[in-house]
Amino acid sequence: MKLKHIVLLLIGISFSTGCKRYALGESDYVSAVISVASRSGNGISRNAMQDSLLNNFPVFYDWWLQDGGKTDLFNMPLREALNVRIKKVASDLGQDVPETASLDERELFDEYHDLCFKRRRRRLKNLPDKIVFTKFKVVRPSIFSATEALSDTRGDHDFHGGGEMVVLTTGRVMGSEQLLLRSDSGMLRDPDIDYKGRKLLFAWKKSSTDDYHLYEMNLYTQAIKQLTEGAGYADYEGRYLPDGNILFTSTRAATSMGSIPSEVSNFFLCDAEGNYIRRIGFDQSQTISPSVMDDGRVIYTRTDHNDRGNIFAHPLFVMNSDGTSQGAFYGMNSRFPTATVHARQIPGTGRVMAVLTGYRTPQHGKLAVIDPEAGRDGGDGLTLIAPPRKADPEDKEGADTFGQYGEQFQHPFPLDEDTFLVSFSPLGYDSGEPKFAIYWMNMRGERELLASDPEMSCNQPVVIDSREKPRLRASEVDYREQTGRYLLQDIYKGSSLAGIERGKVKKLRIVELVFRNAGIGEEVSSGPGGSSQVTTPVGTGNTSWDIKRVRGVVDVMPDGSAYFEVPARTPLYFQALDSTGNMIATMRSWSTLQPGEQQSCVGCHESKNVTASDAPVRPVALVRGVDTITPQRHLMPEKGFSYIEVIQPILDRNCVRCHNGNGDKPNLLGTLTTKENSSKRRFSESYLALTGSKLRNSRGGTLVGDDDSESVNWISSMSDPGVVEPYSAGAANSRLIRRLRDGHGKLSKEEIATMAAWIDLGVPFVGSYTEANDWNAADIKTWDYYSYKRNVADDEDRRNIEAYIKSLK
Amino acid sequence: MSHKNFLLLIISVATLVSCRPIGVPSSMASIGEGDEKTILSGDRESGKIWQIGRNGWKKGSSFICKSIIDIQTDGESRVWALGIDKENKCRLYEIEYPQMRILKSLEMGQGADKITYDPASSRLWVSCSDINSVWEVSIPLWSVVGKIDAPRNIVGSVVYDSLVYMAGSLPEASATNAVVSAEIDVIDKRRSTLKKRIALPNGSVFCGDIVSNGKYAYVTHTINHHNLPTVRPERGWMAVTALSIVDMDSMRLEATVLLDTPEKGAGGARGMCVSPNGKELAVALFGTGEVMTINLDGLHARLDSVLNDEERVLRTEDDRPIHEDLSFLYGLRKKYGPLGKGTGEVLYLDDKTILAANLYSGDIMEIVPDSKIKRFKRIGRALTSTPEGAGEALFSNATLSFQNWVSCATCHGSDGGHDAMSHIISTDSTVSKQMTSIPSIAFREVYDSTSIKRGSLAAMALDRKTASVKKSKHKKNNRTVTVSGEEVCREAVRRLLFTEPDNDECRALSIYLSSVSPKTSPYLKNGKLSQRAERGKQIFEDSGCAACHNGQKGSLEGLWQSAPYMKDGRVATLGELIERGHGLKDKVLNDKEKRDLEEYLLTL
Repeated sequence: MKLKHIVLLLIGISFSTGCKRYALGESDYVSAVISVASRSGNGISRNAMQDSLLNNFPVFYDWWLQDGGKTDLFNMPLREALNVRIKKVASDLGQDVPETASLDERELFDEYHDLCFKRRRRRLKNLPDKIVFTKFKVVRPSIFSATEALSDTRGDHDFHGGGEMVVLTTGRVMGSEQLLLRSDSGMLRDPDIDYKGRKLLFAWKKSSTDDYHLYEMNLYTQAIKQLTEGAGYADYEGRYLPDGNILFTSTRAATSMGSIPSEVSNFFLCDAEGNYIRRIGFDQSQTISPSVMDDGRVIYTRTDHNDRGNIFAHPLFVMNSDGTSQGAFYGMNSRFPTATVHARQIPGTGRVMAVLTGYRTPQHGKLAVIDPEAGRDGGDGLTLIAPPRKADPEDKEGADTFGQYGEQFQHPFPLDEDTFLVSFSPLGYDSGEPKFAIYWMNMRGERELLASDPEMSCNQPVVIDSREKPRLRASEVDYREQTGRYLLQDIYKGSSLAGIERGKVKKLRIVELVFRNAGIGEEVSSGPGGSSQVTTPVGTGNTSWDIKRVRGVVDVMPDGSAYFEVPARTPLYFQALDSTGNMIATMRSWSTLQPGEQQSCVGCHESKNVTASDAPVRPVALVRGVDTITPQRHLMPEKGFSYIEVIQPILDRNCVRCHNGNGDKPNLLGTLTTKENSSKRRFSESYLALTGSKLRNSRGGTLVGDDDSESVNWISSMSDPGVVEPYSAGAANSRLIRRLRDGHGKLSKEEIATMAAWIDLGVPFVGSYTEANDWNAADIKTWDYYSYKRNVADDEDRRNIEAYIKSLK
Repeated sequence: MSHKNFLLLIISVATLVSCRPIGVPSSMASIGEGDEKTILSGDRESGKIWQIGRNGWKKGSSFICKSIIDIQTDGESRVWALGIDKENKCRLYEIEYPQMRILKSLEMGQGADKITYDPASSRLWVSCSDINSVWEVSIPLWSVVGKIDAPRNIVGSVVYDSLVYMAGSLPEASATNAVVSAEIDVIDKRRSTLKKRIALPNGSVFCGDIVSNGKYAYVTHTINHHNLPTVRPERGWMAVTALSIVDMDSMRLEATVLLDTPEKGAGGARGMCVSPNGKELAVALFGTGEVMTINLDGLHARLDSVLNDEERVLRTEDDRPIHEDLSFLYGLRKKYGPLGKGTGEVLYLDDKTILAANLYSGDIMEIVPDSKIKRFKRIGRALTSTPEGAGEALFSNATLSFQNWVSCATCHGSDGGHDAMSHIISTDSTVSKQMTSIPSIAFREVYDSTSIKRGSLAAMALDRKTASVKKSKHKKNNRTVTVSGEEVCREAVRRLLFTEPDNDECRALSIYLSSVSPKTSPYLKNGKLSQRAERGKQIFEDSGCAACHNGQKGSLEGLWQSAPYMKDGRVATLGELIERGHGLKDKVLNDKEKRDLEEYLLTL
């Protein structure tokens, strides 16, 4: 006999006294608890029992859970457990503990529940009238951010049909639910309410073969309008912006992650009707969970691992709602928190509330309040809440699966400085997969369950009400422009060039990141930043994540200033070079400008909590005038940096006469060979020799480079996410470069500089993802399919921008 | 009640409300102790002094003169006020308390706007901002016994033993100097000699107030990052709001800390008050209509922990100076509000309770920590109920800008007269040739560049009037384009405050700008040229100056207060300008002629 049947039986034989309580099944609940306590539910696990009680009598059993130990029901005499609870609630209410000696168990329950109702009424006094939320089974992808379940997915497709969009009318004590929309084989998610409180924006995937698109419901008429469309594109997490546009994240980026072969979702804008969809995020991996702050900026989560490990690099970012001023907000250079998602500003404060989770976990975990004024990394300025506490020192080491033990939180919605709505699971993984309900909660963790469903999790609570529109920031974006400009006040300010003497930096190398269309073949990289597979690898393990295209260099003035124009809508990163052309420090992230944007910063890795410097003179670069990128012919500025095309010819000219595989000398021949079947890439002997790549016995043997070698070393793709000291790796530390400069091999200056640049780029092998591939017909078919898709997406983006420009005239 | 009657009631109530006179609580002081404590508030608009009980109930109001600028008491029985009389002269009044009758009065220098009471010497030190002077008034003798040179645009003074600390508001040096900042002068009050000149950090302008706790002097001011182009306001890229702390014993600038936070600006500070127990400092944030309190014990403890005593290098852990750290005050500050528009003055009723006077909303608010902010007293109808007043309030309203970083007044000053533009725009406009979307281009296109460089709003308003009524002309592609004042204001808000203004805001700002008229030069004697100035005028005309400065362009209106001079502000004084022979071509002037010419120019 199943537990469900027992509960039904209990319901059948019980009767209730109070009308309201009857509706809630109080009497049944009491009977059920008494029966459990008297061991009449023998043979059923405790977890299943708890789960069943919470499913069937959510409010009552949640009171039981929050007012005493989780195991009281099984370990403590019922009378005692009830007395503990009565005492607790009386204390919460600030009243005397009632005399209970003469009461029997049912009367004790009555007394306890009377107090609980009173407390609930008090707690929910200022609760908003209407809340919209979603019901679905929690998505559990292989990494936290891959929830898009694309119909023609490259990889992740965790999708469970059956979902609802529900409005909860809160009432004074108990609310009532109204079904807005049900999708039997689809999923409804990401509700957002417009500023007037009249429209509901959401994402809807109608079946496993459909894709998420944005829909809008008029909350008065309940008429639904589809805003975006297109098979093979998942558009989700739509947000109303103060300027009337809609921001959403979408797989229209049509690229694939560097780790698992799965979709990348980046940010796009469209107008209120879904027109002029245009890309504003050009990011390596996912950008998710956007929300609009009081000042109109958007806070979101960005996976950010250029030349560093991908496990811990999922910081919070902010940008203006037109895509300008994209920059880190919290956790950019630390292992903790592993991933910070579902961030929302606490209204009227500088603080945000967010969920801390792991990397290979779903998007639920622990709840935190972040005050950026008190710190930007590693738990500084971060308080875990409900109840408030500082993160454990061992937490700060970082954990791939952070925050998965005990109570689980997701989707907080702050109401004021102390209270919030949240999707919460008190039992967490105790009962298998955590099942969530909608709660009112405060910072101390005091809570009231507002809505739950025995079949599905209740998620994403959002208040339905009008709210004040942020004052609109004037936009400087001009889509007729192709470029943007950076002004750097003083490169020597900030932690990444600490200890470097003024005047040492001569140039900035500007490198574009080129992202893959699909994941074909894989390698394994590992290091201080964790361990991960790398698909469609650019080199052997631990080398560059992505293809690097060296756009060229710009000047850095003696005062540390630089002022230069770069292509807009292009992910770029910068390397500070000394007079020899060696890298002093490199940016292990990237930056993107919108057309016409003027970005200014003080230094590299400057603290986000300092203002500009009150320097006595204008930056020299500004006086000199805007610099344009000087391309360096020898580094093939027109395409990705290819070892095969750039480095091997140098070796062929100067080295292979001696280094030809005969004798002990390293073999520097360019012959491409297949060493293993995993990477689906053919490597040259010389590349393997110079990078010290050897077969390692993971996943049937993959090639891993030796990033720490004396001869050639580089900042590993799995390096720690923290700031790296200047000159800690790269050409400046390379014995090979030193020897070449000393005259070994008689290479020209330019040839040596090219070798140095290759090392400083993180020793990439290929300059395009198809180069030197070892793909079979199926692989090629896959690649071509997604490449075609990307071309179509790019074309559409271009056409939409043309139409958008026309619409402005 | 029928709808009609209800409507009538509403209309009559509205009429009554609108008939109420405008009130601008420009100053506050308290007198008496405990329950007997009375708050005196001076009204800039009606010239009345209000007496308000501890509970917020009005005890009375008395007309003193045309406009009340400042009030001071000895805390027990004596009341002094600075006001403007019907002949537009600044006057110091001694007032009988509690009858509030004028006992006697004295004429003060132009721009007299702050009284400092010094019980030890029975003196009042009156700051006269237009003439850069502090007048020493002996209370027993009731006469001016000394006039001390003060830093430019003095905002106030504090007395420490035998020293008087005077805070200036604008730099006196050339704008091309490496360090351009307002200064604090320390004088020995017995000998009237300058003991020390303390420079605030580079870019410091517009001091709001100076107060002391008996050991330190605290000065609010703005730091303009005038060497950077105006490309964004975030994180104080354009300007920050600062508090400078001076150790009065050693006459050293202890440190400058920022009132802004990394994600939100403070928007400009005005009046301050130290709590009676000396533990807290309240700062009126004029631009955002808020009050910030700072824990002084905590502040000094934190400063002690980071200041390296031997080298006096002010550095944070991040290896940046303290005055660049937006989070230095983390945990030590609290913000209250918004309280209203133009929070200009603060006053502690006791160690916990703060009164904050809102100039533009005409009321005084009461702040008690952890309880709801309530209105203490309404002085009159809000100035914002008039079109000019609404514009004036917007002009210094930093909530118009992105994240409250700046307002128009951050660079122009909030009285429309003196401003710091010569120190800011000189560099910016040079930059603008390169940075395409920076604001000065918009201005250059709209206004004659001289008036921008010269900066005073009055000059700008005047320029616009001469071009056409409420319209401005500028040449674009050799065509004369007429742009309305509202459009100019729209562009200014978009490009300088980085937000989209609505039409009402643009209209109000434009109306206010048109209403600003230049201040009369204090160098005129009873509104007329002195003999020397008359001679200087002759030289001006004979030397061909009028060929360029003819009223149509190259306006010299407000010249006396708009130093430094030339496009990039490189010339600090008019005397220096004449010495350099600006515009004089071959004409050679002797020393006397030069002084005469300078005397004349100063009357403009």
